[in-house]
Amino acid sequence: MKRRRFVLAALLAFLSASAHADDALLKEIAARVADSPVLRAEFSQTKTLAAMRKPFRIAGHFTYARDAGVLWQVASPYTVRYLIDARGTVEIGPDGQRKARTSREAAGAAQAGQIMQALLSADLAPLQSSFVLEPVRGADRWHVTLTPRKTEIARHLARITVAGTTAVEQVDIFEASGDHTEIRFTAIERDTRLNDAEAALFARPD
Amino acid sequence: MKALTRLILLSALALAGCASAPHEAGCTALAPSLRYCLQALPAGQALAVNQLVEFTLPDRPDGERLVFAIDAHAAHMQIVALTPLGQKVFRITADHGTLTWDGPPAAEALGLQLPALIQLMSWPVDAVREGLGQDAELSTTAHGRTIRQGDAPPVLTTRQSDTDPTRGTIDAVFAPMDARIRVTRLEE
Repeated sequence: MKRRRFVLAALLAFLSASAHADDALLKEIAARVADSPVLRAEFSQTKTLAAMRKPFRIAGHFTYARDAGVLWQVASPYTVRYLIDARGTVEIGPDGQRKARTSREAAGAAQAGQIMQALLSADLAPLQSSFVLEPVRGADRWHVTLTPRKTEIARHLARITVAGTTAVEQVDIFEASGDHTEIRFTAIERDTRLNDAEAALFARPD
Repeated sequence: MKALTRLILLSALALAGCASAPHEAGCTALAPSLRYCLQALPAGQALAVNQLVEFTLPDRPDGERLVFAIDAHAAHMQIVALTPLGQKVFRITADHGTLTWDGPPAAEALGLQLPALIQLMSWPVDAVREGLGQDAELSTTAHGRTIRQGDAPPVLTTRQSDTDPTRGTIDAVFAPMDARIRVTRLEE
């Protein structure tokens, strides 16, 4: 009986130490992905659909604004812009016309934006409430695997991996159906404020 | 989801009369006495394309957009609808006339009609004629297709930018609901 208690205590201590190590690494990653009020990047997204031969690709410009949300400006193979913020998702047409969209219509992009926001702000609590976070440190890169905690989410989403160096450079979304979405961020630059064009797009008419 | 609703509505209206028409596997009613039965691609032909589908309706003059990823060979056809940002909306599989739906349950009955509309616009002419049977007339030129029944106005009119309807752009009018549809193949 004493032996069993010892093994159990050792196991709990190991798991606790492992969790602390993960937390420390997550904090280190969040610190490396230094916060800035504005972050811009080019993005390319490849969606590989299960049992479909031709992948679907889009590319464009990504803007993260700490206080305003995330803007996805698709430039190829067509143009469309999506603003995702605390008030929801809006599609902005070429003429500036805005259409409210359900969060489901941009769920993948919203997830990528939320993950980036959590890492950039070093506020991992919202992510940790929905996902088990497993960070791994490589030679010069890190990656974090996010596994859904709730069964209802896991029915649709197998896992998400986020990878980078001093910024989030790649997000992979693996759906339970076998579909895979890869989003790569390049030409990443930080800024202290939005430019006028971006500010106009982020502005929400009351 | 409005886009999905609109597209489904479009398909539903395109296939008006479905409820009252005799139903058999793989066959869809286009009008009360006009139906289309899904056709296999000819041996050796396959299709794997991504298309941007834009459509307007009288009450939605601003239009909606979806991306259709289509993969077909022989009697097997898959259609995955995505939002322009790449979010999957639904998946339809047609296999030897048997249709399978993976998407919002409320949209299933109508969404399963989409393969017929896609085939009418872009499948080989002989296959479409076979699918229409004796009830309707399909006339074609290098620039498009017209499907009509007797002397009635066309049910569907398409104009295509390429002699191969799976390439370039198709502009279609579906008369029963005054719907305008533009299908543009997305190239790499």
